[in-house]
Amino acid sequence: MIPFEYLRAGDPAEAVAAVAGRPGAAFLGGGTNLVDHMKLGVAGPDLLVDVSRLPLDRVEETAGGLRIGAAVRNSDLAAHPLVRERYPVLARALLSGASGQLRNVATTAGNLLQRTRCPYFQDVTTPCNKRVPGSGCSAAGGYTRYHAILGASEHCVATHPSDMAVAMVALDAVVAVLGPGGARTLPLAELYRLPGDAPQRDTVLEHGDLIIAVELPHLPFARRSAYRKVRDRASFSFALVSVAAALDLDGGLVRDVRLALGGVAHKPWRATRAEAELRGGPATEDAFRRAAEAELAAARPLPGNAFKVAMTRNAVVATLRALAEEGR
Amino acid sequence: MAERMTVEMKVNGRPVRAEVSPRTSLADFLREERRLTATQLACEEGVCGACTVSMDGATVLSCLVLAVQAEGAEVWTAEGLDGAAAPLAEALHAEHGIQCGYCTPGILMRGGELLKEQPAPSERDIRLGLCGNLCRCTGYAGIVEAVAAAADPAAAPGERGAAPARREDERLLAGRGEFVNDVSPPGTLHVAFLRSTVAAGRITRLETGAARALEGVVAVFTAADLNPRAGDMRPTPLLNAAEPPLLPLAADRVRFAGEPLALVVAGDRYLAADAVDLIEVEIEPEPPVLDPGGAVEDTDRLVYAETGSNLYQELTSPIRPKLRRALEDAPQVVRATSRQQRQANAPLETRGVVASYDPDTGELVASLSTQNPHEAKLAISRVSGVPAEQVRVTARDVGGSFGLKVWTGRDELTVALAARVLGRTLKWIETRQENLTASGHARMDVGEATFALDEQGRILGCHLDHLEDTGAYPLGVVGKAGPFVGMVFTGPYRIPLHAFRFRSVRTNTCPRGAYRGPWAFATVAREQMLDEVARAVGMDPLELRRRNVLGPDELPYTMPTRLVLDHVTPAQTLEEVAARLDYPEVRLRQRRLLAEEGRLIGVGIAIGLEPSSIGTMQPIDRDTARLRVELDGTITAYLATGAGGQGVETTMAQVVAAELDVDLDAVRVVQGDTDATPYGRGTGASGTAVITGSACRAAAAELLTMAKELAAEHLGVPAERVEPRRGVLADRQDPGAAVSWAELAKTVSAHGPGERLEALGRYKAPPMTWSNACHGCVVEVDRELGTVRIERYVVAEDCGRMINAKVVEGQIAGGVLQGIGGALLEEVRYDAQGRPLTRGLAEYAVPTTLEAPAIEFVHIETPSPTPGGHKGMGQGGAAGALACVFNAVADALAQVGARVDRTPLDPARILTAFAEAGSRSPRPAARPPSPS
Repeated sequence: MIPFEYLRAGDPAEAVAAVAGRPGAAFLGGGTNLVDHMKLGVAGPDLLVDVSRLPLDRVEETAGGLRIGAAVRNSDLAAHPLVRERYPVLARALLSGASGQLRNVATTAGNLLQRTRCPYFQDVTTPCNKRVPGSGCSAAGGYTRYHAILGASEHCVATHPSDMAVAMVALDAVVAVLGPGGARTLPLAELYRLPGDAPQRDTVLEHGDLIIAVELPHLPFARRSAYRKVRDRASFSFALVSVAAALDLDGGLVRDVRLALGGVAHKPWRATRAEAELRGGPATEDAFRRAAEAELAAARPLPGNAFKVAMTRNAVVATLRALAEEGR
Repeated sequence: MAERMTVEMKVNGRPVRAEVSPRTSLADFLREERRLTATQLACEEGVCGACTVSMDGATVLSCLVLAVQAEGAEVWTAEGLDGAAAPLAEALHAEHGIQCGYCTPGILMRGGELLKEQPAPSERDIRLGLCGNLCRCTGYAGIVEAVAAAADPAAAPGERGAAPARREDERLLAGRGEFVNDVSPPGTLHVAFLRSTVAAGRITRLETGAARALEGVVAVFTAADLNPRAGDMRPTPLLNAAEPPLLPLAADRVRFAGEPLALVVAGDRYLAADAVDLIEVEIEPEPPVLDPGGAVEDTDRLVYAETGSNLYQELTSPIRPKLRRALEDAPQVVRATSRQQRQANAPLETRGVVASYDPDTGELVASLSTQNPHEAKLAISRVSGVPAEQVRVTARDVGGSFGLKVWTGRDELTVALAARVLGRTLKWIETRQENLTASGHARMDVGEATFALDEQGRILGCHLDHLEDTGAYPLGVVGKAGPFVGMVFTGPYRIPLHAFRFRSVRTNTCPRGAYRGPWAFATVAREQMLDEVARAVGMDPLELRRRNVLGPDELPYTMPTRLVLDHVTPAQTLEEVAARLDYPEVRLRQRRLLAEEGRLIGVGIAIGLEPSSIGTMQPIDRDTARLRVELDGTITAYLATGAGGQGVETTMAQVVAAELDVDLDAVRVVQGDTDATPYGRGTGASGTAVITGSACRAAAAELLTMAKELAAEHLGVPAERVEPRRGVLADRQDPGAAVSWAELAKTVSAHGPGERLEALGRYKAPPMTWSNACHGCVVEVDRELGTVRIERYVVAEDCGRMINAKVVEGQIAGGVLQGIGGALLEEVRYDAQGRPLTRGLAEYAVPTTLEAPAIEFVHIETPSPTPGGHKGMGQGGAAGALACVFNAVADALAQVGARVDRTPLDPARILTAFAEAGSRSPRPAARPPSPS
């Protein structure tokens, strides 16, 4: 780990100014991802601006929704009564990630900004366009078990590792950002990018932009929502595939639905085609399968991860089926 | 840059103020600056939980928290808890929830938080709560029970007369265990290695100037500095083997990614790592040899050009005409394949050494994480050139090993040599990445076998073709263990004819080392293949085993390879498992659930034989114990063992206490110090109960002979009338006449200074002591997602007379979970360029609490003919479980025509098998060609 300076920011504006004013500076939240990357040499900031103790640690009720401070710990968010009651998909996504000790430290914003677990990204001795733009992609033709089947480019086939973000994308979350130029909000789904020819950029944030909160809109039917994660082991395994879903039934019909996928793309993947296919249709296993297949029509599996197409389809079907049965 | 900052925090209730570098982790701050060494490091990436501490009321992983982030915080470590007296600590002790103790402080911290948050947790709550704390030893059973018992003492299982609690626990629970990283003499310098990132190639440039110039760097060594000064690095049993030499550092070529190129010595480990990054290295890569199958024939790409072949060893037993005829003409002939993946021992504590050379005295002292201190001493002496009498090796606590630390590794020896060269104290603690890429790999076997059967399913003969990947530098006893797979392949079955071919190939991968049952592939392959045979001939696998397993009246049984099997109970254990599982009922339920709900249940059985305490395996076929009666009448047993969680200090004290009829508390075991203990075999190869135990018995018998004579003089009766009785030596005929051990000790010490009542006992093992076990399990495979859930797990085992039933169950449970890991989760992977993909415990998926089933035990105690009637059993769990779980999954899959022939059976592989099921025959090929 290369040496660096450390500064504990007193308020968000000070933090933003400190980072924005120095190209090598980075925000430090819980550090569970960044400190690991600094040890690996994947990240090498010369200044860490600690934002983990900023007064952004509250979960507040808004008009039917919630505003979650950026520094709220994952464990506190998962245990929050309103989250458990209104957005069970979010609580379950949080609890399916990492371990108790990591969730005690990891922050909301830090979780959103996790970087990929691609083994080549994490190995500084190998080429990686995300780590060193233009150096090449070692995963193409390499080991791709955890890699993307949707939205990848020839430059990068990495996936986003967060569980929480998949649930939040399904819930139409909005992020509040404070940047050098002031405050703004944007839908979480638009925060993330596909790799294209600039895979080094995971998000649309600019240097110095600080996420200060995540807003979850009013979505009553999210009370019937679920998160399902397919992985090798129960702790510290990233999703091979995950599904976040909320289902609103009208008798045997789907009145509305939210569906997002994890482990399949460079970003948490909102399954808008599947949602469109489902809305107004029957809540049957066949319909769920057709919807999943519609979403996966664009899938381009790599030599090492063809299994993910069936896994994703089946996970979508299983998740929606369980939600539909819960509703009967 | 990098200036130091002042931090203030409260640690264990006391205010602390210190200057730290911003990059110092909280874990390093606690361990190095505060000397609070209960908090352990095992992965340093937030996976394993060993470094769990409490910060401001919540547990955190101190390896990922910077010390400066803890400014103003209240931090608690295991040292700040109530020691062994805390309710959870007491429960861990009572429930045998501790083996090596490396994970224990983390379990105490996290378990304490769990109990605070959920005072009455369900078993599921406990497993979920602890799933971020890895334990590689216990299988978690004792840990989960301990948390439950701490929450509700009434729920604790009753007393266990036959299973005393472990005496190792007290220091481990109090955070006073001493693992090698806890040893830091004043003036300790820190070592880091530069390693190749290329699998095969020629070193064209290695420039160390910038590294040497870095402030705080004491030395940078390359091959030119150390290799000419190094003696033979091979383990003692391989000293005469003709092999390309093993040298400290790669000189001109690299042969695997992870091979050491240079060694840096610096003031702290951060600086050492900085200096490694400053070394400039260029390696001209060559295409690596990676596929063991292809490597056999390959004469272009060679791991060692000078050998002309990648074939390291080949041993063929001829197919005699009778077997040939059976394999060609038997009514049923089935060929089956079994592939076991590359695995890692992955003990929670990595390797490590603190080596100190004093040029004035010429003495080299090394603290080491080792199973075998005396072998380490010999190896260090050979490599460093320091005479063995002037080398001392100590090893107090060892945080798991499972074979990895049985022979002293290249890197530890290189550090000891560097200490000798520098005349300083050097510490090297292996990083987890080094552990997973450069310490030793395991398994990576392919077996293809042909079985000939009659119409009734009786096996007439078989042939095994076995290929193992031995990596770039064949290591240790493993080179001799490979052929053993073929030797014991027929196992506990009545198979009259057998032949095998064994081949071992070198590849550009991490060397193969010893791992829990180096012969395990015999069990794994045979048991997996028997299920495949059963499917091919249309017979239930239980029935196939019943028809072929050896019954009690067939013993002793001479295997086709002339090994003699006796004092084992394979048929009985098979029936115990079938009965416990309610096998016919499981089959009915399996069919019903498939027909009615489309669910896939599978049942698996595996019978294993464990060759323990092997009398032909020099030098670990024998041991010596020394017993000394102290002046207070207590007994000290000096043993050469190097236990890493096996509870040797407890079980060997039990043996001695029983032989001398003294209180268990009156016996103390000293091990892990070559100056204090007689030369011996260390701990490993399932040999402690039989070999070390018998040496203890021999020493006790010798001591008793001496003590009886002394007591006889004292009591004025003939020695034949004296017997040990409840802590004294008493006259058989006069219950009132007795003399204490303390009095006898004083009598002897009166003869002169240094005179002590003590005795030495030696034991050499007979050729083979077999233990046996049958594993059975029921699984459900999720047809949609490819995941596996283990519903039930039963082990019926026979390890002869048990010294401590809970220690036996702990060994089995730990082995079983490693086997489950091998069956479902764990795989060390390289990519097509030979680049290691498995560099941490995030990728090497050691099972957590949530993958660990509750295990139901059945014990059969058929004594072995060795002095205590024991049989070694430390390794077999891992082999039996792997085959058992594989068989259960394969059984489930076979119902829908899906087939598998390799592990691990992870969701990807299972879904792939489903996808392929439609496109190939669900039944194995009938009547393959005869093996060549």
